[in-house]
Formats: sequence, structure tokens, C-alpha cells
Amino acid sequence: MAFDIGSVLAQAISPFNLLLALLGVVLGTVIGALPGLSATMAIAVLVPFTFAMDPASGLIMLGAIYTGAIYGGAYAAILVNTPGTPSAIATTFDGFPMAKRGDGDLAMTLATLASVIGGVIGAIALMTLSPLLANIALAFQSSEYFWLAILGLTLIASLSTGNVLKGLIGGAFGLILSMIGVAVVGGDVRMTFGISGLLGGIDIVSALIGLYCIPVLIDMVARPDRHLEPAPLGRGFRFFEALGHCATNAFNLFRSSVIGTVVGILPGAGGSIASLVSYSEARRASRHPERFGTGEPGGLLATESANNATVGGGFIPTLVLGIPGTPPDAVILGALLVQGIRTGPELFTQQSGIVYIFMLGLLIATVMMLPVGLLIGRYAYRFIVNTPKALLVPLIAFMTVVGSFAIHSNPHDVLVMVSMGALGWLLSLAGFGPSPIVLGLVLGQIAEQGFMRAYMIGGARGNFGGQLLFDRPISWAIFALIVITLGLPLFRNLRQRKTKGKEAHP
Amino acid sequence: MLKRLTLLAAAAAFAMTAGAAQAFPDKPVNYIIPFNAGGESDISARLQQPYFKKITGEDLIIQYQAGAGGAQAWSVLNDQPGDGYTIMGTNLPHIILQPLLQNPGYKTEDLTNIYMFHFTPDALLVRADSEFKTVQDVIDASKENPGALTVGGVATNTANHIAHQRFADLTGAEMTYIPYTGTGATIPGLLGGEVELLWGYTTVAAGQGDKVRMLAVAQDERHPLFPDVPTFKELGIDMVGGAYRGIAVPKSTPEEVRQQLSDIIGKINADPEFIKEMEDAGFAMLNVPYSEMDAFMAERQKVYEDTARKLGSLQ
Amino acid sequence: MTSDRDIGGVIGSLFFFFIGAGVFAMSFEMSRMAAMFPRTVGAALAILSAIYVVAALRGYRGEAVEATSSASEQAEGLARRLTLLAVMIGWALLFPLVGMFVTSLTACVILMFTGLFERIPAQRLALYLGAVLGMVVSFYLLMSKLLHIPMPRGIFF
Repeated sequence: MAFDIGSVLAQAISPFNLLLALLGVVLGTVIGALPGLSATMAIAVLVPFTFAMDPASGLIMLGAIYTGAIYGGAYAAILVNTPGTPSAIATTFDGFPMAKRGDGDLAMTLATLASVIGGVIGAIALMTLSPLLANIALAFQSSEYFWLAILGLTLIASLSTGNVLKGLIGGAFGLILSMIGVAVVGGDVRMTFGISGLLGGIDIVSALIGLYCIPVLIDMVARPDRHLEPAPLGRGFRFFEALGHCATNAFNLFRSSVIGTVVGILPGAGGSIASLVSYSEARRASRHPERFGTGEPGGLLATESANNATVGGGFIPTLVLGIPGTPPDAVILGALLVQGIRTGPELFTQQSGIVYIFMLGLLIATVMMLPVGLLIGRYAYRFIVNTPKALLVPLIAFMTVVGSFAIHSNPHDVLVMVSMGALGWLLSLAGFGPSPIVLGLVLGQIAEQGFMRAYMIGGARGNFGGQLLFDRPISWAIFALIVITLGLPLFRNLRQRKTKGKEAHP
Repeated sequence: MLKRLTLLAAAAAFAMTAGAAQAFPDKPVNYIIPFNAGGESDISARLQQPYFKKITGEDLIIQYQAGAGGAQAWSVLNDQPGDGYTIMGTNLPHIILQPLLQNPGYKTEDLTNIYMFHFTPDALLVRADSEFKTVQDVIDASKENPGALTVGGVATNTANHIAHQRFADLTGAEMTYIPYTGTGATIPGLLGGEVELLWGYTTVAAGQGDKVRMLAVAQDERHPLFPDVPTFKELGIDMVGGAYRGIAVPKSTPEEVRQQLSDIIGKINADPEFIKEMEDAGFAMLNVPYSEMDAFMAERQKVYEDTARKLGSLQ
Repeated sequence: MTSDRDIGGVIGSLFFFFIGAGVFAMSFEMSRMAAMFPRTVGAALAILSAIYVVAALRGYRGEAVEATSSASEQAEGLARRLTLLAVMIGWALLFPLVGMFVTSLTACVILMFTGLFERIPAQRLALYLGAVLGMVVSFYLLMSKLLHIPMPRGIFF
């Protein structure tokens, strides 16, 4: 290598860069905590400022904002049941129930610890294995994306124990919502009913905000009791209790971080699928799968470690292949190009180690998230608990409106958000939960396009089955996971019934 | 040395503007990109940003309003204040094809384009280790086995799809077009071997370096960054085209301001340092100022209408 | 629950049945490639919903999919719930015409009173109103000035 490690280290941890990393993490956490405001937006606004800095400092700051924003997404998910990005969907499953019953302080600390662990594992993979792991982005093709989306959809079955049918109906409805707009394959305009605002489809983030947050708001104004159960005073961060949960979930954390890193490498799909898959895997491997969804620390740890691991994972194809993994990666890639830095494998061997300074900066920023996150998280939790409802309701309502508008500066998205909210509330009255619908909406496009491309390519080569599954070992593996995920509960059910039967007739 | 040259150029440019028009602009100008950050539109805007500041002394603030392949932003352009402080990126063939094929909420003539500053020429790409060395190899293989070759591109009824169709019309090569979500998604498709060929742009080849090979580019002359890659014209295939990018203003913007903006963009486009940055990234320079816009748009309209008719989806 | 039939589920499933059937029908006007998924999923949705309707009418009821509150709980504070929903819908429809700031301030003040359950002293009320104003102003500035999001100005601002 053409540079020495000492100078890289010295540059990365210069006081100025450390300050920038700290600033970036704080800013990112706050932006990420506000639904609708995304890392992409924060980074895009700050890109011009980084042109004035030296490239490494600028990059460190952008990376810090990104990782902070992904972490910050957990706040709204835990405290108001509103995932600001698809990667925080699964965080609501266990985070919000915990907060609701008075364990919000523990949930925030767990989310922080998991994010730091996942982020560090992702960053280390980025620093050490990038050129190797980048091949994953090439090995996963349309059929694998299709099967991954289906694996994500199997979560519907496990989320809706007790009423799988309703879960499936909700999931199918979500899939239909995902088809609205101009079809990528075929080019048809589907189900827009002549409304030009629907050409772009239903924006996932505004649907998320509406489906999850509006019913919470509606519940909030109905009853005078507090939004969240307050934690007893003087309990602190519950840091050691959280560490204890991490220790019992050590393997879960590791597995989720690896899933996050690897799935994060897949351009376009990574962020949303990674946390869903790791949640599903954590639930499958757990000895108490029935506790998932009711405030199980293991579920929260799985999703939060996975989604922060996608930060490092997403940078791998960005830096090695020049293919951005996520929208924030795309902005950073653009900033790199403008700075005259060419991405590619050479980036890791030449270019005077700027990429290593950046990656080290990302690692440092991730570690800084621990103290920063614990402090901000504590205040955010106290704020939400102690603010009277008369102020909390307009605050959250304003965030939903302004947030869904901010995504594309488009009033139409606000209308979509509110309609989805009203629909979500009405459906919850009929016993249909929002999560299956959201899963269908988030994964529908990935599933449809993956399948259609495999179908067209298979058709051209006269080997559809091979293209979709039989000739593709990675697809076999994902397919096997799908079968296990769906089969295991059935198997357990059968065995339970058998033992019950034996007890009844000795 | 280069730095000094830029400074000189900037000073000269500044002196010229200062003489011509002091009034406009006197505050930051909002530049709306109708796509997501990180795409070609964004990158070229980012490259323009510092030169805009140098020439006018004011900031160019880049905003994103992505949705429906740009249609979401274009359909509201004329609602914006027409004082010259809101400008929006426009793309061809998008703004011609979209109103032709669907109802995107705007018409081509609703958009007041004031400058077209570059285009990314269509290019036929293969992997570096591909068996196809020339365009003729591809044509031969596809005639031997019609439809068996797969060629990737971005979505349906887009610049890539048009290029695919035009190539098929001109050469009789029958291949299967595989649509992807965006340029970013097509690259793993090609590199990972899912498709044999790719309809892309010179920018894709510039970004991917020696991992891909271009067989031909749809330009009048060879691209300075790729002196060894022939143009389709040289091969006897009459294809010149790609994605053209420019800037439009709301309809209510006065003629005078339109002209001033067009002049500023023209000056940025004439900066040698800027040209070098753009060409290194794979863009091909183009200069269609406000005064020549109508003729340019009419010519393009005709080309796209013909191809769209052949795609069979013209309403 | 008094009734042993899942009436809400039946109504919801009927709604989904019509959507599924509608999408299935619409798919026949699409091109072959674009029609494949809508047709499959539309049919699946219609069939699943039909099964649920039949099953629920024969007495089947599972637990709710997620821990959502049941219809009877929802009856509590229904007026407030509907007020909130109406305010949100009005907000979404009016802000592009009237302007983000004015609409938001009005909506936030209405919502503040919706979220208010007891009588509070005038001083406190003034404090609350001040807080709402401060919140709207600061977020408006954050969005428009810091993040450069073009806020719709409408007839006011």
C-alpha cells in the first residue's frame, strides 16, 4: 500500500475531524429522529460545505451524519411508533410496546448499544473485506432479490400468529398498493385513476408515517392518560441491564450485524430488507418466539444492529464498484465524483489513503454514537413522556405533515399520508394491523421486478426455472430459509398437538 | 498552473457579467433537480455549482423533487414564482416521451427550456471479458438466435428503451430488452452476468473504468475520453442521441431574465476547466442557448415521435 | 366482546374482496408484462378475503393481528378521534392553497385543544399557545431556511 497507517490515523483523529464527527452524529441523530427528514436530505444540504473543507474531513462529516440518522430513526419508532424509514419498521414491533409499558429508557439504551455494535461490525467489514464482499452485489441478481423479498414477506405469517389469514390479506393489499404508478417493467400506468400525482406511486415513507402514526395520534386524543408509561425516577440509563440483554443476545447481535452488512451490500434493497430479515431470523432462532412483537429486547437488538450495519455494508458497493447501495450513498458518491475521487478497487490501494481516513472516521463516529445517543435518547424519552398531550399532539401531527411534505416537496404526499392513516385506523377497527400492509408495500416492487426480470431473461434463454431457482445456489439457500421460516411454526404446532393428544388419551 | 488559469478565466468571466448585467442575480438561485440525488442530473448540477458562484457571486442551491421519472416536479414548474430565482433541470427524451405516452400532468410545450448544456450519449456496453468485440459481433449473434441475447436498460419507454428500439430498426438485430429501476441497478446486472449487454451512457463507462467495454457511442464524433470507441455513425448505423439535460424556468419568467440565465449557463459551459471535469465524468458537451431552443426541440420531437410510434405505445 | 362473530373482519374482508376483484379485472387492460403481478395478487386477495368472510360467518375468529385496540375501546372518545382525523384531512387539503404556515398554526391550535382534557388556568393556556407558536415557527424556519425545502406559500404564507 502506498501510504502509511500512522499518517492515516493521525489525520482521521485530528481534533478538527473528531469535532466534525461529533457534530455530524448529533445532527444526524436529530434529523433521523424526525420522521420524513432523511439522511439523504441532510447530506445533500451539507455537500456544498464539504467542498470548502479538505475531502477527508468533508467525507467524515457526511458519514457521521448518515450513521447518526439511521440510528436516530429508532427514536420515533420506539417513542411514537413511527418508523421514519423502511429500515426502522421492525423497530416499532418491540420498541413501542416496551416504551408503552414504561421500559422506554431501557429500549433507548438497547437501541443505542445495538446500533453501535452493528455499526462497528459493518464499518470493520467495510475496512477489511470490501473488495471481497463487493462481489456479493454482483452475485445477487433479479431472482435472488425476488426470493429475498419473499423471505421478508414471510414475516407476515410470523407477525400474525392467531390470524394468519388477516395478515395475508393485509400483505396482498400492500402488494397492490406497491403497483400503483408507472410500471418499470411494461411501462403501463397502473391504477392511478387519472391522478397525475399517483404516477410516481405511493411514497413508502409517507405511507409509513400515515399507517403507523395517525392511529397512534387518534388513540392519544381519545383518552386523558399519558402517551407512554413514565419510567420511575432515578433509574438512570439502565445501562448494565441493557448490557446484560446484549450478553444473552450476543449471537443474535452478531448474526443480525452480519445480515445487515451482507444484505446492506445489495444496491437498492439493502436497507429495508436487512432489518426485516434479521428480525425474522432472530424470532425463528429464539426460544420464545411468541414474545416477539410484545416488547422483546431480542427483537429490538436484532433490527437496530442490522440497520446500522447496513451503513458500512452500503458503502462497500459504493466505494468498490461505484454503485451506490442506498440514496445517501448516492449523494456521497456524487460528492466524491465532484471532488475528483474515482471509485473502484484502486481506491483501496492508491489515492493516498483518503478512503481509509473516511472509513476510520465512520468507525469513530459510530463509537461516538454511544455517549451521544445515550444522552440524546434520555432527553428525547423524557421529553415525550413529560410533555402534556395538549402539546404533544400538535407537535407530532405537525411533524407528520411537514415530514411527509419534505420527502419530495410535494403536497400530494401529505394527502397520501393522511389517507393511509385514516385507512389504517379503519382497518385496525376491523382487526387488520398495519405491518403486513407495510411489508407488502415495501417489498412489492422488489418482488415484482425481480420476478419479471427473471421471467424475461429466462424466456430469452429458454430456461425460466433455471433462471429463477434451479441454477442459482444463492436462491436455493434463500428458498430453504423461506421453507424453514414457514415450516417451523407448523412443525412446532403439530408436535404440540401430538403431545397434547397423548396427554388427553394416556 | 491550472488553478491560475481557472482564476484568470473566472476573473474574466466575472468582469464580463459585471459589465453586462448587475441586477440579476442578487440573491441565491434555487435549482430544482427532478430526480434523486446522485444521478447524472445531480452530478452535473454539483459540478456547475462552484462556477455559478464564481460567475455571478451568488449561490446555486440544489434541491431534489424526485418522483414519477421527473414528472412530479415538471408538472408544478409553472406554479413556481417566475422571477428567475427558481430554475429546474429538464431531461430529454423524458419531457417529450412522457406526454406522448401517458398523461404526466404537463405538456412538452409547458416547459420553457432556456439552455441545453450537455448530453450523455447512448452507448452499447459489454463486460470487459465479453466475447463480443464489435457491434457486428452482436448483430451476427442476434440474427443467428433472435431474441436470445438480453440487453439491460433503465425502465420502459425511456432513453435506453428508445435506443434499443432504434438499434433494432436500423440493424435488424433482435434482442430481449430487460428493464431495471435505474442506472445504478443496471450495472450489477451487466457485471454479474445477468444480461449480456447494456444500453447505457458514456458516463457509465467513465464510472466503471476497465470493468466494462463500450462497443459504440451514439455521438457525431468520438468522445474525447474514449478515443478508441467508434461512433455508431462510423459503423453505418445512423444513431446520435442519448439523454439531454438542460434548464427550464417557469412560464411567467420575463424574456430578459430568461436570456440572462441562458447567458450565465453558457458561460459556465464555456469554462475550459468545467469542460474538462464534465468530459472526465463521461458527459458530452452541448450548447443550445435560449435563442436556438425552439429549433432544437422541434428536431428532437420528430425523432422521438418516430421511435415511440415503432415501440407501438404511442396513444 | 359480546358478539362471537367477527363483524369488523367481515366488513374489512368484503372491502378487500372488491379491491382484489377490481385489480384482477383491471389487469386485463394492461400489457402482458405489467399485468402478471396485479392479476395474481388481485386474485389472491379476492380469494383470501372470500375465505375469511365465509370462515368468519361460520364462527371462526382469530386474535387481532397486532395489538390494536378493539372497536369497543375505540368508541371511547370517538368525537375527539374524529376531530383529529378531520383536522388532518383539512390540513392536507388546504395547506397548498392557504399556505403552510397559516394552515399549520391553525391546525396545531385546534389539535392542542383536542388534546386538552382538563380546564387549565389562563396563564397556563397562554404558555401552551406560546409553545405551539414557537414550535410551528421554529420547524417552519428549519425546513425553509436550513433544509431549503420550498414551503407552499398559498394565499397567505
